[in-house]
Order: sequence, then C-alpha cells, then structure tokens
Amino acid sequence: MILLTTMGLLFLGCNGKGDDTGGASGLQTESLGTFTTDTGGLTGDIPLTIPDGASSALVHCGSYGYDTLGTAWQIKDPAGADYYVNEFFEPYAATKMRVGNQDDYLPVLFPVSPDHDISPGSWTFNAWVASGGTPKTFDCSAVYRVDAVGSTAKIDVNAIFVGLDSLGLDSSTAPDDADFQAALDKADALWASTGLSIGAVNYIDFTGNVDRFSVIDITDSDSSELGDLFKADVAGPQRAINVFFVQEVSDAGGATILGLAAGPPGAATVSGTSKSGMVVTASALRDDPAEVGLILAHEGAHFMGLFHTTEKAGDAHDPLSDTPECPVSANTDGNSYLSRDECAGLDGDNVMFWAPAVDASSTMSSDQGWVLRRNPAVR
Amino acid sequence: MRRAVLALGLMLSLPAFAGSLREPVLAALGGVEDVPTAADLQGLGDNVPAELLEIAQDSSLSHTTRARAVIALGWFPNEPSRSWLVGTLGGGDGILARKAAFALATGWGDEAVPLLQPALAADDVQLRLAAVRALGRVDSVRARASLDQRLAVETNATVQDTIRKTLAR
Repeated sequence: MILLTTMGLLFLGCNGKGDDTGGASGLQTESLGTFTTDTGGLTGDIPLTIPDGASSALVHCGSYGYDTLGTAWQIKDPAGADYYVNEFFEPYAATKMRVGNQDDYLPVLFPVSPDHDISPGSWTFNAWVASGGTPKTFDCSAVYRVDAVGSTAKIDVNAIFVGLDSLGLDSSTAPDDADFQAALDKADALWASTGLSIGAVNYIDFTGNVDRFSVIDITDSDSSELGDLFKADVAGPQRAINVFFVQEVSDAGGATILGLAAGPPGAATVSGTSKSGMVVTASALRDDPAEVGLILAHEGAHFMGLFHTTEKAGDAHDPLSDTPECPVSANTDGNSYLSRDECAGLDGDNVMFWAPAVDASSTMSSDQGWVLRRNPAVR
Repeated sequence: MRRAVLALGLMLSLPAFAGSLREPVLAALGGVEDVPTAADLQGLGDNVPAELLEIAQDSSLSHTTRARAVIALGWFPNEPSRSWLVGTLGGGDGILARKAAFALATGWGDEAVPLLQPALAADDVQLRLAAVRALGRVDSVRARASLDQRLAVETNATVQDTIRKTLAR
C-alpha cells in the first residue's frame, strides 16, 4: 500500500555541501574533509571508517563544476587490498563494481553486487577529477547505512511536480489522480519481486523557475540544467528518493529522453547536490500511465545502484552475477543496437534492460533486489 | 510451381507499405535514456519515413513514442512529412509541436526558418524555447536575424536568456 502525504513547498537553493542526512536513524555520516587534486587530477588518500554493521557506504565529493568530470580512482579495503580500481589504473583488475564519470559532483556507492560486499574498518578512497592540470578543491563526506537489511524494504518517494499544468498534475491533484496512482502502482509492482515497495509518497510542488525546468534540456557536454534541478532544496524527508516529474527531458537534437537518474548511482540521502535526484518525463501519463511507472522503476533502480543489464550496443553489462548478459553476437540483424527480441531468453525482459517496454519488461533478479534493499535511502 | 514463382515475383515487385515496419521501427524508437539515432532507422528499409509518419499520427501510442517518431522525421525529409510537421507545429499539442520544430530545423535547415518564426511568438513558453533552440541548430543568417527580432519583443526572462545564449554561441 502506498501511503499518502502532502508536503509543503519547495524552493531552489544550494547549500553547497550536502552531507546532512537530517538525523535520519539508521544512517551515520562522516565528514571526510576538504581535498585538493594534484596536477594529474588525483586527490591522494581519503581515509574513511565504515562502521560495524554497515550494509552500504556512499562516498560523495564535490562540487568541482559542470565542465569537469570526476570518478573513483582507487578504493582499498581494511586489509589494504584493492576493492576497486579505475580502468586506467595500473595494474588494472576488474571488480564487481562500476563507477561512472560524473560532472560536478561524484557519488560512489558500494557495494553494488552481493559478490563484492563491504566489511567494517578503515578504508581508503582516491578520487580522480579530470580538470586539465588545474587543481580542484572540494569536500568529501560519507553516508553509511547501519540499520538492518531485511528481505523486504520500503523506499519513500518525494514526488516533485515541475510545471505539469497541461496534465492537470500537482501536489493537490496527484494523490487522487488515477493515472498518477496507476504509475506509482506500476513501479511498485515492478519492484515487488525484489522485496522493495514504495513507502510514503510526499507530494511537492516545485516553486523555482518552472519555465526553465519543466522541459529539461541537456547536451552531451552540458547537463547543468538537470544538475541545477537536482540541487533544489526539497521540503521532504532526506531518507527518500527525489523524483522530479517534468514535461520532458530533451537532448540537443530535440529527442525526448524518458528519464534520467543522477549518477547512477545517485547521492542517496544527500540533499542540495547536482546528483540528489532523478527525473521522469511525464508527457505520456494520460496515454500510458504504465510507461511513466516503468520509467520511475527503471530510473529509481539506477539511482539506488543498478546499471543496465545490457547496454544498447551490448558492449557493457551490470556487475551482477545473476542477470543474464546479452552479448554483441546476439545482434543478428547487424544494426547498431540489441533489441529485446534479440535478447529474449536472456535479459530482454528485465526492467533494467537498456530499452524496457511496458508490455515486455517485468523481471528483476535476486541480486538486483540485494542491491536495492541496501541503498541508504531505503529502510 | 510456376504459379508459386509468379506469386513470389509479384510479392517482391509490390512496394512495401507502411505498417509492415511497425515493430522494428518501434523497437528502434525504444530506450529510456538512449534516444534513437538516424543510423538506427536507416537500415530498416525505404519505407521508414512513411512508417514514422504513421507512428507520429497514431493517437493509440504514447506521446513519448510519437515524439520520438516526430524527431526522426527530420532525418528523412520529404513533402508529406514537411506538411504534417508544419501543421503539428501550430497544432497545440505541446510535446509534438516542440518536436516538430526540431524536426523541421533538422530536415530543412534554413528553409525551415520562416516555418519556425510563428512558433517564436507562441503563447506556450516551452514552444517558444523549442523554436529558439531549433533556430539555434539551423544557425543561418536568417535564423539569427529571427532570434534577434524576437529578443527585442520577448518578455519572458527564461526565453530572453535562452535567445542570448543561443546567439552568443
């Protein structure tokens, strides 16, 4: 059952650093300090202490600007062994972990696979911020999930409506809007097999610059509009996922992107950063609420730590062992992408396939649930 | 046997019709974060533009699917598409009108400038913004002049800012 709550207003604002979890029980935070990269973009060792009983850790660093990409360089566990190294690190050894290249703000969540769990103790983290030889200075913090992880879990949702008058959708109408509730139910149903369900839904109207943010425009080199939206100070609980419902996300050529999650994974429970939310294109709500629900489930899972089981070209997969991988060789028609049909019997029906569809995508795996239920935003 | 060969020959000589490509074109239009590319569609056959136009007009499909088909029409410019896009640009359906602006810019370049100019004065702020960006993609002397003229009378701060940034590129 989805609990309904109506929250107050939301206003734009950036608190610079977002290391406050609002005192949420079950979470611990650690301020790791301020760090300056060398001319090669590396921070040097950043020590962190994962507490006893922690099921996940989110290290987050920034901000360093939209024109700069950052990523994890090396993570060492308490035994001094490499838990993760970047693909450019020498010697490189692949691990069951993926970290993307992130503009402006870097969230790094681990574990993202049950084959690569964490242990309490003193860890070391190194970031790599590609700033073209110019040192960058930024803060780093960590959030640790320390409450118990069960076989079932709930994720609260801050549903933020950004200029959806044309759909008649705002915080006052959404709780009784049949299509919007159907979308939430669809997402809830898609997550059900993982043990995750939607908890409280907080309905919030966006009161910033609606003209700027109701259609999000991004390009390959500039996602600042998206990042600025995610920096919005949400008047809802921090231990929740911030879902911004907009008219659409549009790329440089005008093509509609159905949804995007910060990161992924996003900066769960951390507010005021360019990686503090996810966005859902809501234009299909009246035609096909299930499509909006599918996007919510797909992007929400990205935010909480899942990757595509198979990427469009088939050249990359998630780090999980129990999600089938659709290989490049399955591209029997020789075009530029793997279709669901070509990946049938593998991961073509998985919610996290690169191109899921309402009538064809319904499965999620045990490992996917393991990751979702450990996210700091989940309880 | 001869009849079978004749029938096969007849089938092969008939033009493929829009509709036969529905499933592969819809598959090519899929993806959550990954948007379709011209290359994704170009390999599907000669009748892709007709199929895209049918999908763009098919009200039984979701607006997002139709929107992606509208954008793709710009990759296969022809007269039926142009005519439909011009009508859609002024047709009052927010997302489809925005996509039509981009498709006209992509498919017809500078020729689309006079077609896009009315959208610069639309009541819908998001359509005005889309028209600004579409003209920015055209980036011809006429396109920039249109943006200059609009900037002189535009009252919305976000649209003004977008025009200025577009002209500054």
